[in-house]
Amino acid sequence: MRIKKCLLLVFIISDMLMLSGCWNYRELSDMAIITGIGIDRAEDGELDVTFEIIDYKTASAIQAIKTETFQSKGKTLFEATRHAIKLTGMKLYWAHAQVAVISEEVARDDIIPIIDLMIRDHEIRSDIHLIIAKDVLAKDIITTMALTMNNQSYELALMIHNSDSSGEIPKVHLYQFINAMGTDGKEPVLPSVTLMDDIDKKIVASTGSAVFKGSRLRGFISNEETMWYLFVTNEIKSGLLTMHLDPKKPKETVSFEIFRSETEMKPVFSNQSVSMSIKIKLLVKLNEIAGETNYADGKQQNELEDKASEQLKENIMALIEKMKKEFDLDIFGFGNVVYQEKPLFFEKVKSSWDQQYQNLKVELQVQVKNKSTGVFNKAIEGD
Amino acid sequence: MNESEKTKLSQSLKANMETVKTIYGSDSTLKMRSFSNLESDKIKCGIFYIEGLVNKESISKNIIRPIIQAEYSGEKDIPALLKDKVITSEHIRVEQDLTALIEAVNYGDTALFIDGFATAFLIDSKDWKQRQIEEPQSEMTVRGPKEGFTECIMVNLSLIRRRIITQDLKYEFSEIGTRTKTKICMCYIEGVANKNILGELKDRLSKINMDAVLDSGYIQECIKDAPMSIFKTVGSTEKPDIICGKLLEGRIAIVVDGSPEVITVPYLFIEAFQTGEDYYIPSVYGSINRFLRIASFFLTTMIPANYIALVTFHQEMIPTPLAISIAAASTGTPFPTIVEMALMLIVFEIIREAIVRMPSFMGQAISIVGVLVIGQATVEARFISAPIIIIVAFTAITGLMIGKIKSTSIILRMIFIILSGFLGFYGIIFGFIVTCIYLLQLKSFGVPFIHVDNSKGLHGVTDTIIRAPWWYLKLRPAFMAIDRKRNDFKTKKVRK
Repeated sequence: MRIKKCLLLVFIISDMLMLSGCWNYRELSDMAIITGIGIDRAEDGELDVTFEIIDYKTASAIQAIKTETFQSKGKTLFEATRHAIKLTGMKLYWAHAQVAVISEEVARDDIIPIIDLMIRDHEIRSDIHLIIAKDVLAKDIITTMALTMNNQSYELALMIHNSDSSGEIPKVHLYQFINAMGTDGKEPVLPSVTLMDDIDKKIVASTGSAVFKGSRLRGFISNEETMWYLFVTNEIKSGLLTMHLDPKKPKETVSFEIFRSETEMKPVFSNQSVSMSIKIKLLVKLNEIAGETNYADGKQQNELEDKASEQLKENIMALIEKMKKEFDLDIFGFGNVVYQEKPLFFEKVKSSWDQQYQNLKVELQVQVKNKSTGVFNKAIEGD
Repeated sequence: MNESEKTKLSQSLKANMETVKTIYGSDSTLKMRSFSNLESDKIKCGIFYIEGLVNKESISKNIIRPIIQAEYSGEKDIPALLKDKVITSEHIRVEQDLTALIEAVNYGDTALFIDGFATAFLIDSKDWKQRQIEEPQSEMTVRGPKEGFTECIMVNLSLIRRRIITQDLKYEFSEIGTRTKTKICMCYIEGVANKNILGELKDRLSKINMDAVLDSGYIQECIKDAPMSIFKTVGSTEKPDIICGKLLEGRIAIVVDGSPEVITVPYLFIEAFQTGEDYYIPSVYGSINRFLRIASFFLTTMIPANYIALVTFHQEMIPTPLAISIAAASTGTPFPTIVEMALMLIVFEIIREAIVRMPSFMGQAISIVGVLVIGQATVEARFISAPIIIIVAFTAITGLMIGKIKSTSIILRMIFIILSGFLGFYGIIFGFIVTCIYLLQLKSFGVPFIHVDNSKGLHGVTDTIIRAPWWYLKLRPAFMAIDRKRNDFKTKKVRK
């Protein structure tokens, strides 16, 4: 009797397993792993999506892995993905995609129809990087040969990932972009790239950032301006400050390596209006004197620091003014900071924040502290 | 003649010898000799013994010569005379039953009949060729005694007795097996071993009704708590120092004649990871080794299943460069991952089993062939993908660390592979939970198999995952010993 019961149990379990199948069993080699995509607008208004997938043709133990690119059309991103099966024969696998390059045209129109799939689908990572292609099609960016590896998408992702060291590219994941879009009082920013002529070929280079109003692209700011922007939003981890400290010697430049940067943004309330007070503190190291003036002189350190602070303050104020007057985009998140301090006050002025922002008084204080002058404590003398 | 009369001895020497000859038939290993005393014909004796089992010189020196040369002064009670004053062997006993006589002679005693009396003597003359005491192949050590048990029960018991000299070490003999009449001996230390376990053990031994017990493994299987379980609940070992260690912890050992493996009862899960060497090397190294063994057990059972689950169900959990490498390596291979894995593991088991049985001079060649052919050629011919070979090799090596629990790990590994092939990580976690629940309810002779010792302090940990230094190993394991106090180090600093 006991044997019968055991046997019955065995049959039941094996039937359950056999009849229900293997749930979600997929072989890794039956999937086309997408590493990155590029999205353009086709002539008939549909989307032209360029996929970069891992190429299994040349895969072997000795050679490095290469990628293939192909194009697929569809009204939406999801449709384009499904149509791709007609082209590759394999179902596309999104989980390892790290980059989505979006052309300027599509972004100016409205970016939300593109990115909804990315945040809604379970397979696409929500920390995928969005990049805007400036002056060129996203297809051209994705299909260009990469410099250091066989995989253009991963190189783009690496460029953004290592932006900490350069301080000139904003590091934006998809979820951060969507959060910034939804926050009142802050406008989102995405990195932008373009094709540049190198010695004998074209390579992809970063050109700064693209600034958005809500979900629509408005304009671009340069690499340098991106750095000032990152200063204000306290996202500088490292980087380089190159300055002409002496207006009488325009050819002499001094380079500072940034070690630490701290920014404090505080709203100052008075009557019914508000102004911003920004304090930036930097710890730098004098790393290069492209000239002969001995900036490394120990007695002149205070003067050096003051000059550097002045220059930096000028640059940052210039960008803030530009964003206020020219673009009228609160990319720094001043409105958000006001909301954090006094939410009820912000609720009142929210609707007219754009006008208020244009006339917003911003008080900026920059303090640069130079911690050392490298291993050489004076300038190289020429004569 | 009825049964009881068949086994009775007659008073006539001739009749007895005839009976014995009839029983043995044309067996020429049976040797018989009749002789009588020089002085008097009243002392007429006959002996029989089996050639090859006896020391012939001792028979002639201790039995035949003394009887032939004895001084007889007319005593009536000849058996008593011979027993007390004539026979110079060091062991002699009286036996009246013919069956018992035959069995004793078959084991190496010499039987002595006396004409005119219906009693026989059994004189100890055992001497046969047996294996030397050598290091057991299955339990090699670097540091520690290298003696191992042999097939003779008396030698084995002597190895144990020499190490535990106290009079509390008790031996209890009995016989199991209706045809083999195998001698077994229960060893325990009185005052330490648990009486309940002892009683339960005796009860189970008495219920064994087999006609042959050729190895201690037969008894192991018959007294197990959970006979169909894949986990061993009765342990065995070939080394006397390990047996003595276990006896001193409160366990009971059963030595079986004809088998170099001595079985111990109760047996816990953690004992598969404890070796004698852990206690002879400094506690830090012992702890590291023990931790490695436990980790190896988990690795060898879980790694194939985890790989299958990752690669076929949860590809998003693999870091991207690794995922691409695995994908590139497994393009073009004909079998699904789970089939590849199962195939390679079965091939490995076949190779391992084959190498164990073959003569050592072939073993070297076959292992090279196995590695080259299976590993290299199948990957190059694109039968199996390279990551599978790496996983199987790693599983095999970690499996070698845990020799005592290897068969369990093989079955567990297969179960986990099947579960992960159907349900991915859900299956593995499910299997893990079921295994844990099963292990927690398993008992070995009343002692919980997975032994959670919640006595004061960290005593539960001191001898399981790590091997704490001796000044922390104050208590014996719980549930087993009556007297738990093991040692009484007052301070661990011996120097001033």
